[in-house]
Amino acid sequence: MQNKFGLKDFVLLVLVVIVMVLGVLAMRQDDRRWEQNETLVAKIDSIEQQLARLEGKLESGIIVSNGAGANGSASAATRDESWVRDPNVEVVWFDMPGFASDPRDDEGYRIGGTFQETFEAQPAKLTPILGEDVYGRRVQDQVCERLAEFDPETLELTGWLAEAWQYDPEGYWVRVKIRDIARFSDGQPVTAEDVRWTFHDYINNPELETESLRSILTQIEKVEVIDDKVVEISFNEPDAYNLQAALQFYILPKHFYEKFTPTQINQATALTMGSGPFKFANLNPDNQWTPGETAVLVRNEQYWGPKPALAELRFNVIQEDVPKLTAFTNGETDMINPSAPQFLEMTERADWEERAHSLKWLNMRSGYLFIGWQCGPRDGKLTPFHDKRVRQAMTLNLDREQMIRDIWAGLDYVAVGPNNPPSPAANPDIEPWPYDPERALELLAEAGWQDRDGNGILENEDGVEFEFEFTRASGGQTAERMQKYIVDRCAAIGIRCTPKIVDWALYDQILKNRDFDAITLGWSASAPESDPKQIWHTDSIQNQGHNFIQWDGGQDQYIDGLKAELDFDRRMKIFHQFHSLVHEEQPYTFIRVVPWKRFISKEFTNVHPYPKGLEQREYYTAPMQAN
Amino acid sequence: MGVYILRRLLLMIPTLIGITFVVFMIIALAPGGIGASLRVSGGEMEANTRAIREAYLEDRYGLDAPAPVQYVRWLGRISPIKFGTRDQIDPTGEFIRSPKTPKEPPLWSFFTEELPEDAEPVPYEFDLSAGLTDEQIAVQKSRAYRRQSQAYSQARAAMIANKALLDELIGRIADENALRGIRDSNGKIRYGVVERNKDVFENDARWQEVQAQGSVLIDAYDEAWRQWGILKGIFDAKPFPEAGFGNSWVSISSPDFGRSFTKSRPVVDLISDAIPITILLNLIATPIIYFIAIPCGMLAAVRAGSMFDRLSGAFFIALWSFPIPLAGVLAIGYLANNDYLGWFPVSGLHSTASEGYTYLPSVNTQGNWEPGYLLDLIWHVCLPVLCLVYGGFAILSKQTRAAMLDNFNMDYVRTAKAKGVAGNTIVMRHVFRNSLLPLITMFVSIFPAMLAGSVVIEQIFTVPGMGRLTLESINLRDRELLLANTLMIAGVNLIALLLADILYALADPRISYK
Repeated sequence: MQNKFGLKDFVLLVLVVIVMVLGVLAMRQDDRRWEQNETLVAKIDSIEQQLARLEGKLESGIIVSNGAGANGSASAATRDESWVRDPNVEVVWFDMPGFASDPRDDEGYRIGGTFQETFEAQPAKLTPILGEDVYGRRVQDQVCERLAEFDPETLELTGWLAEAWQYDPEGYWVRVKIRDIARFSDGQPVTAEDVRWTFHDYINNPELETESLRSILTQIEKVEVIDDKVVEISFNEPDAYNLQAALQFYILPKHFYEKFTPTQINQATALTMGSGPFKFANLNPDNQWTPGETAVLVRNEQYWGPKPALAELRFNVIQEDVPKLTAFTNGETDMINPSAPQFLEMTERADWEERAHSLKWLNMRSGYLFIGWQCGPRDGKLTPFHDKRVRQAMTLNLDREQMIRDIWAGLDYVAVGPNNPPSPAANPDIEPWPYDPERALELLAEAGWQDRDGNGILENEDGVEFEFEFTRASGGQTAERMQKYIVDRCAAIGIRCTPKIVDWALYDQILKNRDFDAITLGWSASAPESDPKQIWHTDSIQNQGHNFIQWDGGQDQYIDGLKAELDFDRRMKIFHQFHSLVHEEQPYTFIRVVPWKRFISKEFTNVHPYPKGLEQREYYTAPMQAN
Repeated sequence: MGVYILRRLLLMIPTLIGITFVVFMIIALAPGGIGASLRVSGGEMEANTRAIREAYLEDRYGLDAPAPVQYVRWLGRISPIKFGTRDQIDPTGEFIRSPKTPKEPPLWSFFTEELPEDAEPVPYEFDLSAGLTDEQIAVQKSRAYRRQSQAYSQARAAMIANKALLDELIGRIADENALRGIRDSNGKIRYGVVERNKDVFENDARWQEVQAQGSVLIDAYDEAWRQWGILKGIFDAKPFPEAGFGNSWVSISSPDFGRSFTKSRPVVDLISDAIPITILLNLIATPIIYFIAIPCGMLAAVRAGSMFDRLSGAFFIALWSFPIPLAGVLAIGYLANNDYLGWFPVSGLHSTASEGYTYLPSVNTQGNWEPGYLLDLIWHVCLPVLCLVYGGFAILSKQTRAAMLDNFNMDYVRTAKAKGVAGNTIVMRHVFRNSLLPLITMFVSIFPAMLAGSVVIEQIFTVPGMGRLTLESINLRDRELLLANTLMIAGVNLIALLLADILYALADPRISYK
C-alpha cells in the first residue's frame, strides 16, 4: 500500500498555507499599528517637552517673587493674611516645599532614567483611598498629595499643598490657605472646592467603598470653602490628633472624578490622578493598569513643586524571595525588600558595596512584635499574668538579644515600648529589661509561685501549677522557632507553656473574646505619633476593643491627657510618662522593632534613608563609573 | 446520540449546583467564615468605628445573612432565568437592581409600640417635555436616579451606624452586668438573649441612654424607608433600559457573576485577566509534551525491551518525580541568575523595553536588532513552560507505549504482517490509530487542568494566572470569586467528560449511547 497524495491532502495543504499567510498578515498589520503608535508617542513627547520648557520659564518668574518674599523678617508683613478667621491667633506659614537632600546642584546631576521597584505582594488597586494596602499607598504617594506632609527628617507636620494655616487654640477648627501655584497634573489649579469635595463627596460618599478612611475621620465635622484658595475644617471636639487627621488625606481633583459613576470609581483599578510629582500616563477607565501588570508612572511635567529627576517609576511584583534577589542582581529591578538572611549574605560579599546601596534603618513606619499577657480574666478566671511581678518575670526570663540573633538573623533591635525611636514619643531614658532569669525566679517567688513539691514546676499556695497557653498564628518558620524558644525558657524556670497554633483568620475572634493566656502579634505604625487610646485605654477593654489583654494599670490619666494636650512638647512629656508606666507594668513583653531593609541599585544616587521613609523624588541616575 | 447529549447537559445543572454548594459551605463553615479577611483591621480604629465599618461592609455585600441564604442569592443572580422585577442596565454596563428595602431594626419593641409603616413607592415621572433630545432625556433620568440613590445610601448608612451604636451600648451594659452568651462566635450581639434579659437592661443606670439611642434608630429607619420609597418610584419609572427580555414576572437575561469584595472588581474581569495567561502557558506547554512524549512512547513500544525503552522510561519517571517547587527555584537560581548562566529573565511577561518593540523581530532606527514583542514574550515564558512540561512526559509516553504494545499482539497486526505490509505502515496506519483511544482520554483530562492553572508555578514565577486567583479567593474567603472559579472549573470538567464520551463513540464504532 502506497501513500497517495490525494485531493483531500491538497485541500488540507492549501488551507494550512492560507492560515499561515493570514497569520503573517495579521502580524504585519499589528507591526504597522506599533509603528504608528510610536510616531504618536514621539509627537506627544515633543509636545510635552515644549510645554515643560515653557513652564520652566513661567515658573522661574514665580520663584523669583517668592524668594523675595521669603527673604528676611519682612516677609510676614508682605504676606496676605486677610483670609484668617481670628487675627489674634498665630498663623503658621511654610516655605515652598523642597528636597530633603537637594540633588540639583550635585555634579553629574542628570534628568531622566527609569526606576523599577519590586513589591512582594500584589496591590489589588491603586485608586486613591479605595486601594488601602501598603503597596497601593506607595504608588499613590507619588501621584497624590496632601495638605501637609511629615518632614522626612524631623517628622514635623509641614505644609505641602497648604501654604499656611491657622489652628484654633481651643482646637475646634483649622483654616488652611492652599498654595496659589499648586495644580493637578492636567494643569487645573488645586482649589478649596477640591478639598471640600474630596472630604464630603468622595471620602464620605456612602456609595464609594471608602469605609476605612471614613470611619477614622469621624472627628471632622465639616469642610467649608471660604474662598477659592481658603478652606476651613471644623472638628466635633478638640483632640490632639485632629490636625494630623484633617491635613493628611489626599486631595483629589473634583473635575476629574466627577465624570465617573460611583460604580466606575469603585471598580477602577488605577483611576489615580492628583497633584504629585508623577502621574499615570493613561487614565482611560477602559484601559487601566490591572493587577499583574507593571504599574508605570511618568514624570508630571507640569508639577508645581520641586521636580524629580527620574522620568519614570515602575512597580512590579515578585512574591518569592529567590526570584526577587535574582531579579535585583540581574539588574531587572532597582529596589527590593530583601529577607533578613539575604541581607546578611549579600552585604558580606566583597563586591556588593559597588553594586547596591544596602539600607537598614528604623523609620516612622517600623512596627514592633510583642507577646501580650492576659492581665484580666479569661473565661471568668484570672490568669497568673494579672500580677505585674509575673509579667516582669516573664520578660526578664527571655533573652531578647539572643532571640533576635538566633531567630531573626540579628538585624532587628530590642523593642523598648509602645513607641520606638525615631518617634519623638519614645522615652529616651528607658532601657529595655535585661535578661536575668534569677531575678525572674525571685519575682515569681514574691508573687507566690514556688516549686513546693520538688517536681520542677512552680506552684502557688493552693498547689496550682503554673501553666499557660501561648497562642500564635500558623505558618512561618520564625514564629515556630520563637514558640520553641519560649517553651524552653519557661521550662527552664519551671513553667509549663503549651503552644496553641491557630489560623490567622481565627485571630480576630480570639482577640475579641479574650480567649488566650499569652498571644503574639505585631503592631505597625503609620505616623510619628499615634493615639494610644484604641490599644491601651481601659475603655477599649470593654465591648471587644483592642485592649484585648484587659490591662488596667492606671494608664487612663496619661492617655486622656494626651488627647487634650494640643502643645507638642507637653504632649511628648506625657507620652514619656506613659511609656515609663508601660515599661514598669509590662502588659506586653516587647520583643523586637523591625527595621526596614532595602537594596537599591548603585545606578542611582542621592539615596538616603529618612525617619519618614524613602524619597524617590530625589534620586537620579549616577554618572557611569569610568573603568 | 442527540438525546444522550441533551440528557447529559441537563444533568450538569444539578451537578454544578451540588459542587458549588458543597465548596461554598465548606468555606463558609471554616473559622471566620465568608468575608473573614474584611473583618481583620488594624488597631487604629476604636471599637465602635470598627463595628460601624464592619456593618457597612456586611450590608453592602449581604454578609450578615446566613450562609445558605447567601448561596441561594448567588444562584438567583447567575441564573439566566430570573423572577420578579427586572434589572436595568446603565450606560456603563452596570446592572441596576431594584433597591434593597431597609432592614427592620432589632429590639424595636423596647423603644416603640409599633414600627413605622413601610413606605410605598412614590410614583415618579420624568420630564419628557418636547424640545429635549434623547440624550438629554437619558442624562436627566440617570441624574435623577443617581441623586436619589445617593440619598438613600446616606439614609441607610445612618441607620446602620445607629444600629452599631446601639449594639455597642448594649454590649457595654451586658459586659458590666456580666451577662454571658450575649455574643456569637463572630462577636455579634444575640438579640434573643437581650430580649430574654430585658430586666437587666431596664435596671441599668444607662437605660435612658439605650432608650434615646433606640428612638434615634427608629427615626433613622423611618427616614430610610421614606428615601427608599422615592428611589423605588424612580426605579419603577425605568430610568435605564431593562436587561434581557421577558415580563415583570419571568425574564431571561445574562448571568451576573457579581464582583469580588476583596478586590471590588467584577469577577468576570478578574477571570478574563487571568485566563489568557494560563491558556498561553498551556498552549505552549501541551504541544511540547505531546510532540516529545508520543514519539518516544511509540519508539519505546516498537523496540520494547531495548536500551532506548529502558533509558527513556527511567529518565521520564525521574523527571516526573522531581518536585516542581525545587525545579522552579533551581531554574531561577542557575538559568536566570546572571552570576551563573543568566539566559532567561526572572519574572514577569515582558521586559521594560518591550513597549517600544514592534510585534515581530526587527531592526530599529539605530540599526540594532530587536527581538520584538512576540519573541520577548516567548523568552519570558520559557522557564515557567519548562517547569510545566518536564513532569508531563512520563504518563503520556507510558500510556502510548502500553496501548501500542496491546495492539501489536492483536490478530490483525499478524495478518497485516503476513500480507507483507511494510513495518512502518503497520505501526503508523494500524497500530497507532488504534492506540489513539487512551490518548483522547488523556487530552480531555488535561484540558480542564489547563484552565485551572498551576498554583505552584504561578506562585514561583509570579505569573498572574488562574491558579493564583483561585488560591487567593480561598485564602481571602471571597464569596463571588470563589463561587465563579468553582463553577468554571467544575463546568469545564463536566464538559470535558462529556466530550470524552462523545469522542469515544466517534473513535470506536463499537461504543454507542442508545
